[in-house]
Amino acid sequence: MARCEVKKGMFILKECSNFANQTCSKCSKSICSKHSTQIEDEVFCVECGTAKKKQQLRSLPARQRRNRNSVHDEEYERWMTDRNTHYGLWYYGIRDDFYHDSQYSPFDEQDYSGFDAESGQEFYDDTDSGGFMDS
Amino acid sequence: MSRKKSLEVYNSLDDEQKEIISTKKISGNQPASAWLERLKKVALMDHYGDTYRKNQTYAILMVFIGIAGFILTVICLANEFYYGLVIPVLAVIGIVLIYKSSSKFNKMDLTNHLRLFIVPLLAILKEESRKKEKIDLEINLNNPCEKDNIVETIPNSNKKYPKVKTTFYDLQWMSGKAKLQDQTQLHWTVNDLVRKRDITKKNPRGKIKFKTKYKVKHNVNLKLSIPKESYELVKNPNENQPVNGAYKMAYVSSDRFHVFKIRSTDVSATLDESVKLNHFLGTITKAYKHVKPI
Ligand SMILES: [Zn+2]
Ligand SMILES: [Zn+2]
Repeated sequence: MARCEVKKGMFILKECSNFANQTCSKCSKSICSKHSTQIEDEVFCVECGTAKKKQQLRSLPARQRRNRNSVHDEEYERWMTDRNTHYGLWYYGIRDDFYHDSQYSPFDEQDYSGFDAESGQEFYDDTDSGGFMDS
Repeated sequence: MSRKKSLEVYNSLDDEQKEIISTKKISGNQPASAWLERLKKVALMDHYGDTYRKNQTYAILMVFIGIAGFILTVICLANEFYYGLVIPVLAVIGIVLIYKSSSKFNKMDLTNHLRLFIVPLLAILKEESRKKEKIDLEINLNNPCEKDNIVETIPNSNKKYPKVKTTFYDLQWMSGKAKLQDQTQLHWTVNDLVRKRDITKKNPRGKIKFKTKYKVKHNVNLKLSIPKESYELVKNPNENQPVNGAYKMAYVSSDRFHVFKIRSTDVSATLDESVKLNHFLGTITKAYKHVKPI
């Protein structure tokens, strides 16, 4: 069964690797329920979903846009009020802005030679029992 | 509406969460997911509360009752309806009750650091550290502009207007320790140095006006201990100091770690803002930009 291909993390990226049960309609990545989002009947991965929401906000008429906060503010509020919402969208919104502002390119899990061998098992423990169960 | 929502959230809090609101202090050692569980609702309550306070509904209501009471009283007196004199008494009682309820509600206010900085940071640390890794936090969400935090007062020295009284406050509102998934140890503190200026102005028509202006420096102190078994140095940090003084960095090599100490400052013009998350994350990258995984 396919594993979720979304990369988690801010400084060091690592693949989520929960079992995937969906596919992003934009980038075709396999995604787990925790890293998927539905916008107007289409399923996206959290990264493409964030980009889509940003684009939607940009295409609003200027007057409407001014009255609304950035995408991750809205998504943050939604997460605070809804027990079942994952923080995916605002987290990835913040990450996107951060990479853009700081011109920082994160390390990738695969950059480390000794890293995986030593702690690989724990990594997989780390992926919240979730995905499947969460939905 | 937001007041009702805020109180609804308050009533659903457990004792530990209610204690955060009364003491405005948080401390403990637990995994990021447990921290988020504990703080999310408190942040939500503060979010609704702030919306209500921002709309100044209390003040508007008090003014409305005052004016309505006055007009009704005048009408009653003009019509020699003396029972109407009960109206100003009721209006005063109403205003006092609203004032009391507003000050009780205002006491529940926390600084926005929780909602704007601490909770999002914990979400980031959750993704950045192993699931059971505990995060150590000491947090103070009291308003920094309180007597105990005064570090300096400069009385007004102008004989003419504008007259300015300046007060400086300093409050360390957060310190924390976390271990990231690459075994990097992160220690940090954030303190707010606030400059409050009470300004009394006189406009050309001779009218006196009061204004308070703030400038807040959010000072971030970070210590990153990056394990040598996973990283090597790519450039000498001590030769790479920024020219414009945007931040200060010191590097020491210990037995097992590359140790970076970094200080940086983010500035805001109101008490409502917090240190920007991007600023804090950017400060962390200052260290990571000097190493490379092996
Ligand atoms: Zn995608
Ligand atoms: Zn996933």
